[in-house]
Amino acid sequence: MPTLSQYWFQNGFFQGPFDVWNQPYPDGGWAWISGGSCAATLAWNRPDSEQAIDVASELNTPGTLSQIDNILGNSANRTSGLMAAGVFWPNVPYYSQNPGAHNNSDMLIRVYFNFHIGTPWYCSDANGDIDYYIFLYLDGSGHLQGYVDGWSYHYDGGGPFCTGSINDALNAGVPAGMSTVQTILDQALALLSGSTFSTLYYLPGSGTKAPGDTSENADTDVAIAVLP
Amino acid sequence: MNTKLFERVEAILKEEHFTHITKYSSTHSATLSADKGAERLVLHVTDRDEMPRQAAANQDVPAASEIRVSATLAGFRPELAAQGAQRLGQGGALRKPRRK
Repeated sequence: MPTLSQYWFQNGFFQGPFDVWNQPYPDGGWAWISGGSCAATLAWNRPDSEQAIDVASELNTPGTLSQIDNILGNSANRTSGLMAAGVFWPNVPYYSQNPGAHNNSDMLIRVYFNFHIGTPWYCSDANGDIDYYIFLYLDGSGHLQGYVDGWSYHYDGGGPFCTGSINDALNAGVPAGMSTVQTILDQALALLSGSTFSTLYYLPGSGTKAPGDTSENADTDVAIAVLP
Repeated sequence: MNTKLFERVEAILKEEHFTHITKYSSTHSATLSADKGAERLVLHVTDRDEMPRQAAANQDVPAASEIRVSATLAGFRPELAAQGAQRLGQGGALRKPRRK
């Protein structure tokens, strides 16, 4: 049975807290959804054949977290689980380095986590986030493929004298971590290697189809949806 | 970095009975710290400001020709949606050819 899903975003399109109402309806039938005040809304007609993969749920396994922790080594401590968000290409931090790399309406998945770095007494500790941007696509055979498109980090603290050594550690570890993230991605995509698809899109949050009302956060989870 | 300056300062600090003399260096800075009782000292030399953020694209990615379908909302313009003051909307089919 298809589902009409309407998402109401409180802060902006595909950002932050949102509510979703899922309304199943019969093939060839109709559905309506009423209410909801928000900054932006998205309505999606979701066929019964849709497969939705909750990214944050898939990532936060002990094995994956262990691999992520190896990226940091002794230079930093991970202070959150892995989070995922759908982001439009112009909102990716390295967009300005090559705007034509993707279409502006293309979405990437931002996989990120928070970190903490301790510093000597004359500096404040640093707290921030490390981000990897994943580009997923269907190849000519309809197989789901993906690659790590880039990385970024941002932190607060480290002043007045420690940002240099913090940047040295992050500039070495974060780009090198792309290979680890690619390995994690390849392992996940291998589970779908036997299937072919015609359509790929992202849904905010877990991608739940549970009928009725659900509240989630588009900044911390995104779902990959594919249709045969 | 000017390590000779640090060597001279370190010698002076030792003469003055400072202890816990510690040196950290990075690509663009060097820092020396020491203490003597309640007195604490820091010497920092840098040749540029370090921003607490970096971002870069992966240079090793598949050719665009390998991509048939990507996750997209065709025609969506994030910069207009971000303005928030005006109402916008667009609909469309999902099966869209990939790439410009």
